[in-house]
Amino acid sequence: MKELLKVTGLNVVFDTPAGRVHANRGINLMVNENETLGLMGESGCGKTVLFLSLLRLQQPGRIVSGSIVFDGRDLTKLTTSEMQQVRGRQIALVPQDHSTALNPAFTVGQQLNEALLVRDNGGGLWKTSLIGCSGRGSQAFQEEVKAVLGELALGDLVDTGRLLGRYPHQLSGGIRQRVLIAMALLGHPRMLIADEPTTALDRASRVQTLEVLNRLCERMTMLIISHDLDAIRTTCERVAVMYGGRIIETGPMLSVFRNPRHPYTRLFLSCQKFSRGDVLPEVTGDVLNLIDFPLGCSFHPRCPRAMPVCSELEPAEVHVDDTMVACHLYATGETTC
Amino acid sequence: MSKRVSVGRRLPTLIIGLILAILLAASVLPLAGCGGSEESGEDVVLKVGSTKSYKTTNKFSDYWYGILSGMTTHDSLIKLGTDMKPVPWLATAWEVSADSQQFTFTIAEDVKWHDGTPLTPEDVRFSIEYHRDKVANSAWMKDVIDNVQVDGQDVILNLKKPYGNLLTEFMTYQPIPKHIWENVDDPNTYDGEDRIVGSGPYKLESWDETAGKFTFVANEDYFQGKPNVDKLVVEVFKNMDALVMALSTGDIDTWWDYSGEFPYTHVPALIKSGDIEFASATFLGVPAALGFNFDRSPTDQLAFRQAVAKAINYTEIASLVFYSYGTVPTYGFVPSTHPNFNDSIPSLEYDTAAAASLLDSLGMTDSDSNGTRESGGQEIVLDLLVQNTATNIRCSELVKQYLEAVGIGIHIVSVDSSTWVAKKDAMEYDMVFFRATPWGTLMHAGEGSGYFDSRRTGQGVLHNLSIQEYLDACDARLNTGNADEQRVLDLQLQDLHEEYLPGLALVWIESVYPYREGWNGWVIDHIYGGVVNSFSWSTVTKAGN
Amino acid sequence: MERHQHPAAAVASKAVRYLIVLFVIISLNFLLPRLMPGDPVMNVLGEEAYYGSPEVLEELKAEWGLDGPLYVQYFRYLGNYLKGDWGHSFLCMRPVSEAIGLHLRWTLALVLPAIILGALLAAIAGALAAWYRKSKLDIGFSATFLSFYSMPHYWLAMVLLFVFGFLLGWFPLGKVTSGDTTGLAYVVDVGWHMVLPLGLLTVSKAAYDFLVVRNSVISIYGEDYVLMAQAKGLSQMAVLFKHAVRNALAPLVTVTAIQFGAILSGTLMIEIVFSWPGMGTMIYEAIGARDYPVLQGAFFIIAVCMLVANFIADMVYVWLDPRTR
Ligand SMILES: Nc1ncnc2c1ncn2[C@@H]1O[C@H](COP(=O)(O)OP(=O)(O)O)[C@@H](O)[C@H]1O
Ligand code: SF4
Ligand SMILES: [Mg+2]
Repeated sequence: MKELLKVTGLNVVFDTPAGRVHANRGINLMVNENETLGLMGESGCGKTVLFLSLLRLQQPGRIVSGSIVFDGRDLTKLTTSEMQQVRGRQIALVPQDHSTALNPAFTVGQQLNEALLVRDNGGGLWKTSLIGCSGRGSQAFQEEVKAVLGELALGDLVDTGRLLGRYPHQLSGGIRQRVLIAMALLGHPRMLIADEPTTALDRASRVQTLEVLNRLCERMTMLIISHDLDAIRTTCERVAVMYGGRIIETGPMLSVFRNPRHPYTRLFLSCQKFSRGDVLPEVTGDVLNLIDFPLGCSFHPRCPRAMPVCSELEPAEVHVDDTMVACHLYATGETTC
Repeated sequence: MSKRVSVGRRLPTLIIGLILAILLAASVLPLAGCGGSEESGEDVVLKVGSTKSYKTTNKFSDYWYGILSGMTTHDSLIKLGTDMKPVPWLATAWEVSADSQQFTFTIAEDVKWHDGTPLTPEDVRFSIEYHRDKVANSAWMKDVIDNVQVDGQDVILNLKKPYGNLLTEFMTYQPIPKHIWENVDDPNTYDGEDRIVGSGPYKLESWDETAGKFTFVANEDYFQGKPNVDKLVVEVFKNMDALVMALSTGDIDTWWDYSGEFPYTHVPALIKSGDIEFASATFLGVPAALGFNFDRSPTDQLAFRQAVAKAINYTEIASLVFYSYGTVPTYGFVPSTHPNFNDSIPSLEYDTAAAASLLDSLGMTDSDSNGTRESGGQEIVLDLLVQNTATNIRCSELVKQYLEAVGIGIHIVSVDSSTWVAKKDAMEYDMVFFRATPWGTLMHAGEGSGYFDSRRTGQGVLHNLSIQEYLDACDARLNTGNADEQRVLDLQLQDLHEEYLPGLALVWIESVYPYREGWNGWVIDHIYGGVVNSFSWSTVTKAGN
Repeated sequence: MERHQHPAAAVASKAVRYLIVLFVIISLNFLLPRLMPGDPVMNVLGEEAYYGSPEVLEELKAEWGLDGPLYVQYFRYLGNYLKGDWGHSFLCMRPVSEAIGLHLRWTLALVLPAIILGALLAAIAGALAAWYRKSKLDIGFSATFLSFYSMPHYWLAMVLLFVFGFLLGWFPLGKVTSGDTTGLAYVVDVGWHMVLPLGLLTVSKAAYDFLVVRNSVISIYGEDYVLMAQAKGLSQMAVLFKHAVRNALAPLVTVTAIQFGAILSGTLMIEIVFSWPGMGTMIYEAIGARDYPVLQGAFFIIAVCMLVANFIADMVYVWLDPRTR
């Protein structure tokens, strides 16, 4: 198995009037080619920031240290224009909120076409301006879009020609979400990162979207943020759990789901089990404030198994069987990475 | 279905196209109709700047073009010479009968209209009758001219009554071709292309209203010989600043405004620029004058008017408002360049003590010591009606200061020109600021009498003096064509101005006329205002040509 | 487009509103010379006619509808206006409609390109300033446009004429054409004469628009679809000018419609400085001469222009923002 993405020691901060927000703290994460990884964690723990950092779109946040090695290249070292080549064509994003992610002034067709133009001509203003573009007959475009929409089970649901002429506000949430997925796929990316792709959807759309994701994960590398355990269970080979800007547990999906090791993971999964994905269940206690950290393990104020050491020393990541955990309960005396 | 997408994709192209189309349309829109002319190398071209508002090339309906045509395309029978005496023009000679009831003009031979038709005495006869019958502002002729006869080259006017000022009046009337106008009932609305045909030294080649430009070409067949300047271009500006800049850069050679004064404020900059020279002459009119309402008290009292005359600091007005181009006038009103100027009349004098004692003698004293005198218990505060031009406002502020210094309160009523006319006609003022144009001072019985004779009406005149002695003098002057009698009456009229003080000249000025270095031989015309006039056409030369 | 046709009712109500405005303007126009100081007959016919003979005056009164009771005059006036008979200008010595036609096109020749070029300039500068906000570029643009915005147009026009026309001699000292050219040379000549007044109007129009665009782009900057456009791999400039600016145009159009009157009056002032034969010089002269027929016609046509501008703005707004359809 080939390693496609490896994030090491990633620190992302936001400087705000209230103080410095440590949104990502020493993130270590690895994704293999053709693997699907699920990222879980309560709201505000830094998942979206991590995703945006992969595309270096975390502004106004700053990557203060760490590396993001994608296909052998450290993305943090690329120039702006090199980074543009990565976006959409290497790593494509399916954003968190489908209702605001499409430009209200352009038709679906125009926005999908733009993704194609970026793939074929690059992202320059002139090349994508529809004046400067050439060589993409509308016929070829139509067919390609049709194929992609077919793959997303939209082919029979709506008439492609009509859909392309529509503006985003004229579409339902489910269709918009799949348009966004189609837009991502049109760039022929090596890796798809989807931020809560099923959260803001009604039940029927969620089921359909899930099917789509299911099919997609067969053939490409994916990183999915989700609270929907069904979604994670059906699509992901591995999972990672985030808390307070850190990844506190990673491992094979089945292993983590059956035998969660970190106290937070346990709590999190037990809450989620009873949810249907549409309401976001909460682990009791205050959500962590990412500006002022407690000393030691950031979870200790809420942890049912906290020990004296937990409020003094930040736990290191340790390997337990096939998973990695950051918790003093599993400390072996020697800290490993 | 595929159509929609391709429209969508071409949309920005369409937008850009549309913008370009609009821009193009906007700039091509006004292009309809444009004049053209060819340039020939060696021509002497004179470019004249003007700020007047020209609208058409109908000399009857367009006041300003009418004046312009009078010194270019059209000739008058006689003109006012530089010595202020009539000189022959289309009429080579003229004769006035002893009773001033018959005027005979001998018309020059071999004069041609611009279209090649000969100009005949019959044309002249026709023109006089045409003006009398059809032209609104020539209505005075109806009262005066009985009939017009042609006898060989002579045109004989028989008047209903003696009219001594007829020669002066005729200096501004230009004959028009009978064959063009005889069928035109309303000259104001006639828009035939031949309406510009005259007999003058220039033919109008084009008038481009949008460009604001007249092009006149020399009349090769002019009866007095082809003028020196081959081509005369009049460039119209909407503001004086731009005109002065154009003069500085050489875009134009000189400036012309009928009876206007070149603004002194621009003179220093032009002198500094080095390429501009100035001709100068005493202005025939009165640029700032103070008139009195004889229907109101206390301005109806002579002693009060005399007190006002003594309270004003004329030297200061001349230097502050007229940049030292002004001089102190006399009580006679009209300046010294006038024919028959009365030099025995004393100059106006600034003497506040004399003013105060005159006011005291009228019983106007400041008994409550508030700085303003009272008359019969009433504070004396007078309305001073002023047209709101810069010169007027500055000048009236000074006058207010002077009069308040001797205890006469002044309330300045500053209004636009039409309101000024309305209030003036309704006699709603105690004192009024006015100006007399060169032609205005020659009107009526001359010497500025046109402004004061109570029987006159019109835009700029005061018609405030109804003393029988004055009216008789005016009538006598109007009734005589005899030069000696005229002289006696002219002197008398000026004496009467001193005696009754219907109005005060506040200043007389030296007018300056800028022109570009290299032009020589200008003649100054007091009436048409400056170096641009009919006389200059045959004398002016350009160095190097 | 598609099924989103403007409902007929909306169009009708708009039309009714416009008609009411026009009706009010025409009525005010009717009252204007009759309420102003002085004899309305003199106000409408001019002094020269007034000082003429009584028969002529009666004749003229009848000809220009100044005889009879006021309500008769009013309805006759209304009828004439609708027929396109706007009276006769004694100042311009031609029918008012003709005089206005002559001058209006020159004003529009400045105003229309100035609006479009000004909006373009503002869109580009405003977008760049917003994108690189707080940079030197932003501060430079903002300071420049703000100072243009706060300077009186009339004064700026004089300065431009003095510097570029007089001192440097690059451009003519006003007017629209030198007058001796035809065809293409004429177009070039007019273009050359247009540079200063058009440039000034463009910049002063852009000065206000700049702030509008800058603020809208800054607020749009935080929108998800801008982030998404970047995530697609578009370059900074493509994101800025395709996605951000496009959505900042709608407020720009609204502002332009609201500002149209100000732009027009600004143009009128500038025309006098540049001896431009547009509406401004005509109105200026007409005020001086109390040529009420011309003033009435000018007010009417300006009102029509404002309504047309509003109508176009409405249309463009709908076109720019599909959500309003
Ligand atoms: N633009 C921003 N400015 C300041 N703080 C931010 C910004 N974006 C995100 N954060 C902070 O980063 C933290 C992580 O946010 P996010 O990644 O969106 O959480 P989630 O896990 O719900 O996706 C939050 O606490 C939030 O306050
Ligand atoms: S380190 Fe301590 S506080 Fe943190 S999760 Fe483990 S046991 Fe709980
Ligand atoms: Mg999130």
